[in-house]
Amino acid sequence: MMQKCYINSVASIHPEENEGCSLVHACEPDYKMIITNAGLRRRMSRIIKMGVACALESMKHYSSSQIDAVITATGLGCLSDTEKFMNALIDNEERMLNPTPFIQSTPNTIGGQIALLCQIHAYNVTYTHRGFSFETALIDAMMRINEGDEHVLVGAMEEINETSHLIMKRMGLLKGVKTGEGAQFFVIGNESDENNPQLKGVEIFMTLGSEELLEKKINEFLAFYGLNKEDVDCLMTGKNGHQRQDVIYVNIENRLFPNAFYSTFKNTCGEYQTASAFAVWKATKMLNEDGMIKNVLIYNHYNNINHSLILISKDI
Amino acid sequence: MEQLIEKLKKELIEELNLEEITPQDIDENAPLFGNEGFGLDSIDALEIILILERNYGIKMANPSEGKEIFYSVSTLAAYIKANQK
Amino acid sequence: MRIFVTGIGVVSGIGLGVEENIEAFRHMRHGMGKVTLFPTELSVPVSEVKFTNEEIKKNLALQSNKTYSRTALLGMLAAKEALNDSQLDTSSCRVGFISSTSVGGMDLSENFFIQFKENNAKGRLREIASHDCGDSTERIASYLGIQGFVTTVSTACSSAANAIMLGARLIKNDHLDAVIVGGTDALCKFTLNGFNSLMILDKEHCRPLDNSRAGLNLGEGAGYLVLQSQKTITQQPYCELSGYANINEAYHQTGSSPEGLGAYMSMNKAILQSGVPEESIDYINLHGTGTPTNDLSESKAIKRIFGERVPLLSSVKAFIGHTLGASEGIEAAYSVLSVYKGIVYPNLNFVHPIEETGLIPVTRFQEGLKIRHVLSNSFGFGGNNSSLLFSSVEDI
Repeated sequence: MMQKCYINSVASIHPEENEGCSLVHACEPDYKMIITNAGLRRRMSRIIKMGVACALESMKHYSSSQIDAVITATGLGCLSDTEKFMNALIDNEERMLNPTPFIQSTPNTIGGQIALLCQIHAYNVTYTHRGFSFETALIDAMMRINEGDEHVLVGAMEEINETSHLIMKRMGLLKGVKTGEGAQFFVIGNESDENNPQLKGVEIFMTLGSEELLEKKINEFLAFYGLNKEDVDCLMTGKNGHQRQDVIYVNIENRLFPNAFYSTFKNTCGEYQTASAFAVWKATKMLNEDGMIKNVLIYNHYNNINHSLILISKDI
Repeated sequence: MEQLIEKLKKELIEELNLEEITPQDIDENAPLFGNEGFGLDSIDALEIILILERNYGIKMANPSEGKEIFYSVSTLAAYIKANQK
Repeated sequence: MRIFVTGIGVVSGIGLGVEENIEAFRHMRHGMGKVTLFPTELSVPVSEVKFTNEEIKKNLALQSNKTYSRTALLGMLAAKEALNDSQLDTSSCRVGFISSTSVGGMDLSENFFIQFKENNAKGRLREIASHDCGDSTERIASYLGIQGFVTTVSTACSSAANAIMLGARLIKNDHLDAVIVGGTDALCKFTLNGFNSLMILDKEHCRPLDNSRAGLNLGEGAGYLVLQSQKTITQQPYCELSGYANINEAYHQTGSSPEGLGAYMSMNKAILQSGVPEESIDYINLHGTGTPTNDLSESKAIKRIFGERVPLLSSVKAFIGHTLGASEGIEAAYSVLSVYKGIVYPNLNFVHPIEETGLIPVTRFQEGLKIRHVLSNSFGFGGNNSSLLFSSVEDI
C-alpha cells in the first residue's frame, strides 16, 4: 500500500492567456525580490531564474532542513545558454570561450542552484525525457514519500526562444499550436493539516497504437485507485490546437467521460514538454477552490508519442 | 594607473554581470574573492583570465597563478601594466 | 527486497563489449589518442570508441541512410550486450529502460548549428531532431523492443548512478520487475570546448591520484546493467546492488569542497544504507578524474571514512577517459566484474601520491582476489554526488 502524497504547496510562473499568438512567454516576476543572492543570480539565464524563483516561492513556508529531496524536470533544458556557448564556439573558433554559459547549460543546473542557495544536501535529481520528464519526477517523488520522506520539492521548467520556436516550426510541429514555457514547483508531503489535494497516481506510456488500448489503459488506471469512469469529476486534457493530435482527446471525452467537466491547460501555458506541470498546478487550484470536485484526471500526450495519466483527488 | 583602474572596474562589472554595481561600489584595494571580499569565485577567475587575454593581450596559461594577481583591482591593474603587450 | 545484477554491457575507448574491455586492462592498453571524430583546434588526449558511426550501424544491422546520434548508437551497442547477457525475456514481466546522458544528440546538433547560424532556413532538420536527452533513450528502447517504462536522467557526471538507483527503486516499489539501467555519451565539440573553457583538461595523458595531476581527459562510451529482483531471476546473478546514495554537496556550481564533504556524505550514506561494515569493502572504483580538486576531495573523504584501513582503490579514467553521462554506467559494469571475478583495475600514470593524503592506488591488473564489496563513486557538476555499493552473493 503506497503512502499518501499531499500537494501541500504550489507555485507557478506561466503565461497569461494569449489568443492568436504562436509563441507565448511566461509572465515573469521581479526576480531580485525572490532570488536575493545577487552573486548567484547574476549568472542565471531566464529558465534558471524561472525555476529557482518558483522553487523558492513554493518552499517559503519550509526550512531547508525539512526538504528531503529536490526533484526537477525539463525536456529541452537550458536552451539559451546552450545557444550562447554554441555561437561563441563558432564565432571565436574555439578560442577564449567564456565558461559560464557552458556550466549553465546542463539540465541539472536548476536543481543544483536550489541546493546551493538553500544549502539542501538531500537527494537531488533531474529528469530530461520529453513528455515524460515531469511525470518521472512525480513518480520519483511518490516513491520517496513511500520510502519515508516527509517533504519532497518537485518541479519543472521550460523555456522557449526564437531559435527553438523556429526549428519546431520548420519541423512542422506547430500547425495550429502555440509554443509556450513556464515553471511550476510543488512541495509534496506525507501529511496534510488542511485536507490538501492528493497526488494519487501517475502513469506514463508510449503510444499504444489504438484507441481501444488507450481506453483499456485508462480504465485499468482508474480501477487501480478504486475508481471507475463515473468517479472522474473533471477530465483535463492536453489539447493544443493541433487538429490531428487533439482528436484523441475528444474521443476519450465522448466515449469514456461524457458527463465529466472538461478542462484544458495548453491554451494558457502553450505546448512544451513539461506542460503537464502547469496542468497539475491548475488541477490543484481547482480542487482547492471548488468544493464539489473530488477527482481530476489529467490525460496528456506530447507529439502523440509520450502519453501520461495523472490522478489528483481530494476528500470532500 | 587611475584610468586603468576605472576601466578595469567597468570591465569587471560588464563581464562578470555584476548587476546594480557601479565602479564607485568597488574599493580597488579590497579583496575581490571569497566571502570576506567581493564574493567572486573560481568561475569569475576564469572570466578575468579571458578579460586579460581579450582586452590586454596577456595570456595566463595557469589559473593557479591568479591567486595573488587577482587579489584586488589594484593588484590586477599592476599586473596588466607590467605585462601588457 | 534485494536487487541483483544479471547482465552487463560496455562500449568504450578500450573496447567493444565487456570481454574486450577486460582484455585491454589486462594488457595495460589505454584508449587515449587525438580527436578524430570532428575537426578541432584543441590538441588534447581523448578516448574515442574506435568505430565510426557507419561501422556501428552495420554492427547493429541498422540502415546506413538513417540518421542516429552517436550517443544513441553507442547506447544501443552496450544496452544490447547487457540485455543479451541477462537472458531476460522482455515479454515475461514488467521491464523498463532508464538511460542517462549529458550531451544527448549534440554530436549532430553542432553540425546543424553551423549552417543554421549562417541562414536560419538552412541546416538538416534530421540533425537537430535528436538534440534532446530523451532521443537516445527512446531510440535504444525501440531497438531493444522495450515498450514499458522509459525515461532519462541528466545530472552531469553522476547521471548513470542515478539511473541505476531509480531502476532499483522502481523494482523495490513494485512498478517494475526488471530494468536496464546505465548511460551513454558521445564525444562532441561542444563538450570538449566546454571543459576546455573551464581549464580542467589535461593537455597530456591524465594522472589520476598522482601529486602532479593537472586535469582530466574526456572520453566517450556507454555502459548498462540489468537489474532484477529475486522474483524474476532465472540464472545466477553477478552480484547484488546492496547500497546507493545521492546527495548534493551544495558547495559550488562546478568545484568540490576541499574537505571532500560531498564525497564523504555520498559514500557514507551508501555504506550505511547497505549495512555493510566499512572494513568489508575490498575495493573502491574512484571517480578519480585527475583534476586537482576532485582527487584531493575524494581522497580526503576516503581517509575520513576508512582511516588507516583504506581498501584497494583506483581510477580507470586514464584508460577510458571521463565519459560523463556514461561514466558510472561503464564503471558500474567494471565494479560488478570486480566483485564477480575478484578483479581490481590498474590506475595508470601514478608515480607520487597526493601529499596531503598519501593514497596509493592499484597499478597492476589483478583477478581472482577475494572482493566481497565494491564502492563506486561518481561526482558531477551542480554538486550532484552519488555512490553505489555492489556485493558478492552466495548461490541464489
